[in-house]
Amino acid sequence: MSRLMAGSRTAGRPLVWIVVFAVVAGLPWLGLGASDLRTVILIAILALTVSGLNLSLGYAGELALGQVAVYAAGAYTGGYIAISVVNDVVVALLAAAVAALVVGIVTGIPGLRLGHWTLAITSFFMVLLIPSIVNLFGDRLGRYDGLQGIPIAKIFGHELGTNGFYLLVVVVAGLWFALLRNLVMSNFGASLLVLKESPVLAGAVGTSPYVTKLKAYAIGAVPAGLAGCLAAYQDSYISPVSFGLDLTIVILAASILGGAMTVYGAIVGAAIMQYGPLESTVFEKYATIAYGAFLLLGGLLLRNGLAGVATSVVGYLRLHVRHHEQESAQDTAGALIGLPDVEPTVLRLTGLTKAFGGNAAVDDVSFVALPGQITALIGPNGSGKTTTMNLISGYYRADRGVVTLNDRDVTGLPPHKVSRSGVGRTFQTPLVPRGLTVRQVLTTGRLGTSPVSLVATALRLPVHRRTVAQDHEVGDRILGALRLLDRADADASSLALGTRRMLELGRAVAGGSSLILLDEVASGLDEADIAELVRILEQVKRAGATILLVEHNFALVRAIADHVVVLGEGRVLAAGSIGEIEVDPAVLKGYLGDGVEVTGTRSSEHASSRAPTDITPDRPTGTLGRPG
Amino acid sequence: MTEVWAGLTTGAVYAFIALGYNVTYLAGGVINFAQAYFLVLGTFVAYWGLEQHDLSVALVFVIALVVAGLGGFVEERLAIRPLRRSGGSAELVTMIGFSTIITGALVLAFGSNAMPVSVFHLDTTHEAFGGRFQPLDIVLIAAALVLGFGLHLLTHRTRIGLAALAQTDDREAAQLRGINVSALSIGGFIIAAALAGVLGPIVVEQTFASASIAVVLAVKGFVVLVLGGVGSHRGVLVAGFTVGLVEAFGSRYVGPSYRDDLVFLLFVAVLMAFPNGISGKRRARAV
Amino acid sequence: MSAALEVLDLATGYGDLRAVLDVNLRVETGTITVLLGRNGAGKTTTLRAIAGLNPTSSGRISLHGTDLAGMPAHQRARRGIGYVQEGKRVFKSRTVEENLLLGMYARPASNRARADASDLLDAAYTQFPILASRRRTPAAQLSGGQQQMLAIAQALAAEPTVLLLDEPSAGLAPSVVGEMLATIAQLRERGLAVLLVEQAMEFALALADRVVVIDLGRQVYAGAADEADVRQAVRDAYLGLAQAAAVAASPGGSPVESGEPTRAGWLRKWRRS
Repeated sequence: MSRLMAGSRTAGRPLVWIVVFAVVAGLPWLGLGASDLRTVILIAILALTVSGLNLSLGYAGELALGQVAVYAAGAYTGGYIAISVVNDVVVALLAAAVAALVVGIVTGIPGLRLGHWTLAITSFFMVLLIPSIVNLFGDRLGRYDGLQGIPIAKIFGHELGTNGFYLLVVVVAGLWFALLRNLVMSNFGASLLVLKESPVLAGAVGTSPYVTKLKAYAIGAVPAGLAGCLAAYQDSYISPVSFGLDLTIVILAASILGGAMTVYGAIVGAAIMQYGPLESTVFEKYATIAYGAFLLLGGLLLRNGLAGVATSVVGYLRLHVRHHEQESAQDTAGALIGLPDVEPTVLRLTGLTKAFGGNAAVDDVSFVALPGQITALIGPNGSGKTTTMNLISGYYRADRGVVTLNDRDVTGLPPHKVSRSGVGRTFQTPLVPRGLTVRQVLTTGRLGTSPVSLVATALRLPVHRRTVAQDHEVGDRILGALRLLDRADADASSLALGTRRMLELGRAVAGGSSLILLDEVASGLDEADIAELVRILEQVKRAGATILLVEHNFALVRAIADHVVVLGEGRVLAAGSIGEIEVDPAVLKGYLGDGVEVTGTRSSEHASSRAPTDITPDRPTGTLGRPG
Repeated sequence: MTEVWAGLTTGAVYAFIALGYNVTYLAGGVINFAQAYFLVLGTFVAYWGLEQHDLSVALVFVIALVVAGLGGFVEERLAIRPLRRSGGSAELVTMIGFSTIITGALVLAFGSNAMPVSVFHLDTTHEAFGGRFQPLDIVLIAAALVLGFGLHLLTHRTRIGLAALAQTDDREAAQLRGINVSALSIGGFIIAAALAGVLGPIVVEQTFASASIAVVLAVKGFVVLVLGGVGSHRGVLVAGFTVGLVEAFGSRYVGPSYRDDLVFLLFVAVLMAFPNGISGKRRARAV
Repeated sequence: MSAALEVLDLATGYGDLRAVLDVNLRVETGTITVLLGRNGAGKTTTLRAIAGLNPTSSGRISLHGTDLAGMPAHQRARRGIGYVQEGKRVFKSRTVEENLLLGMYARPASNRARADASDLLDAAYTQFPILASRRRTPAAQLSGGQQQMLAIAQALAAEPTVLLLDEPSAGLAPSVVGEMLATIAQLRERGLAVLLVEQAMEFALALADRVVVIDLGRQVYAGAADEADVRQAVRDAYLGLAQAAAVAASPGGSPVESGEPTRAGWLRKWRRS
């Protein structure tokens, strides 16, 4: 923990970095020699490439090892433009960035559907294919002999000398890291952590997992492309063989070594690699073994997995929060009024049907849930409750039937679109991303309803600042209602189960949801937690939301539900008030049990002597009592 | 038809790697990236023993088995066991690191050229079904089939196989049922590595002793694993032979330089359509 | 005669997190001891430490007098500790019969003859008839209640002397809970020493011979289940401490706002008395 704080404290102060940047930029005029300047250039180039890998590692622990392919694309594009089109470094860089974007997205597409491993191996494979792909382009790119004769960089017609080129590289790297910092220290960064925790959660808060992943691939690709272009100018020659597995290993090693600290760790890792194995001639014979050892050690040292990188991403988010905390400390007192009102929404299911491989999990289910009420959906295991909830949320597609919100058809919409229609939900196991504070988790509920473009985020435009302020205000209000304000900056994943449940509920409300779906929200809670839960639910009800509660705890249902729908084997057995369904014969037989239903042991005769509807007798009955 | 023999032979080598992946996965929940590297290690033992030191073939097999088995043990202890409780990506990194060390050491000791090795001294060529083949081809294909079906029986018809299958479902629950999961894991690593080592001298006449093919074999072995379904021995056999055939025919009709691109496209295409592989079994994922 | 299971001054947790600070238990053969407590109190952590899944930082766990220190989980299973975890953790992709066979893995070595295996299977099917008709069904296709039955049958197949049960009634429909009660009560007749963790107080008290209450990692009450003050002691532990904490935390002291039910008031509503 303290390492994280230390890292973020220094990393966060922009002034420090501006000074560092100025010093580094001025090194040629401070007397640094040509070969040392070259080393710094190489560090910058490697750092750019590694920063892209850090982004995908940090958000999903995904080893998108195809960075080398993107780097190669940038190098070849830049080189080709410089030789055959126009020798202007700005044009070359832009073209390289575009090529990198395209290659990055294309090579990332398999990652959208496949798991981590498959993405890693697929990208490894792509690196092996680079020479043959270059060959496809014919003599233009020099085939296996490589691309020769890349001229000295020119900018707006002026040739860049050694110092000039050095300055260019430092400026490009500096600008990139500034943009990256802005992107990561924002709601976008939070959306990456949400995705890392669970794609299901991403959809539930209104972000599309695919779109977020693609954005991450794209953003991770740009610096690699720029780096490749700069490297091409630097060496005046590109060989397809140089984009091989050795380079992949170097990038990976640099990422691991430096990545544990902060996102700027890409620079640190690159420096370590550059001054270490890459420079030393003694090392050359042992280079491969050294890289391998670095990886082995690096992987072992980061025992928390590559989450170490994620925590560095978070280090920024933390800092962001602290900054704001100072501003709004005075405002909290007045915000504890209760939850904001929402638009009344009627949920209507008509004839909803879903079968899995021949088994009708949900069979012609129809019911209505009204605003300002708590509707409970109950039934035995396998009765279709969770399937129904997942159908409403959009995680399953219904075979037949319609789901409407105020007569607006939302059937078949993907989860993030359902969420944006005003639906929030909680999960049986609370999905709380690691590395976010309580306040940040709550704010992720607003990712779908108040999105900010990447450009605005990167450049910190006014719309970004406004959204952040609004997020904070809503956060204060809801945290106040949840009585969590004093723990707003605590690490959310360290909270007890009951509190995490409450936080999930708050997140569902934060997005302004008018329909709240609760999946066994009382499961695993003790009496004190349940009392608190009920208090919050009453408030949510009063704000006018429609609450659909899937629950096993019948006593709780009896206490708070305004309307009850009972499912059995996928069909609606009964619907009405608690009093009505408690005495409904179909319900008694299928769910509450009248003692005759047997599903397990020989001792059913014993079971029937208890009255299971009354779960709270004053004394244990004698039949099942103790011996003697 | 000669392509068919060539394809099946290449496919057999890929299947060896993928079967090794299966063993470490079933026994320990980890797909050992270094399998192909142990195979290559075995090919170098063959080179060292037969071309440089004139040892007997039998001795070379034994040495390959022991050296590779030892390597598997060291890898499990060093690179896998300490990371048991972390996410899968860290293990992949340490496995790649370990494998890279093997490659580095081999290049340091033997150079980076691909060196031919003579093991069986059966250089005759035969004709069957309109295509040409060598006895070694039959040996490789037969060995793959025997290994594949043998592993299948071991996994699905024995007590220890059932224990392994349980472990892949829920490792902690398996411990509670009395299964020594750490012994199972290390045993699996050693056996898979030793197996790969022993196969080295068998395949070396086909692949030559070359450090640089290790990564290619590792990647293609993984392709076969994913296509056939992680944990499915029979699926992996079918996928291996299929990929080998695609390569052989691709090489003939599209040209040897684009052969791998073809395999790659096939891989991605099949995966997008069948994310769980041909046999539909478990999804390919790290622990 | 030493107790079947004895836990002294146990302290354990997860990595840096110290979840259990001081627990003492004795479970005698042929009795059911219930471990009660609020969520996060440390009940599951205690069971995990006894089973060998969590390391203990101090204290002693002994089985029939033998200290279990340093013994890994799979060995404890073979010595006779059966642990049914919460969440119906059977092997989902294996069939019912395979699950039972796996349960037998930990049987005492002396009983490992083949003939015994089919006898044990038959015994399991007799006690749990619903499993008999689904021998070849993958466990993933069973309902929640059936999976829970399978989990218990699986643990029993190892012929344990001590059985640890973690919230066996969780997530089960009320109609099935009754059968679960009966099944567990039977275990007492068979001479097992049962340590049962539960949150549903009434379910637990119906079965218990002894009650131990844990709060915030510490033991706050232990006594025979038929003692007159058991119920009150349990309520105090659940509510007394909770209420005190709530009063301390809320601004201004009283949690009563206009129209909002107090904790006590809400509980009254819940009990429908």
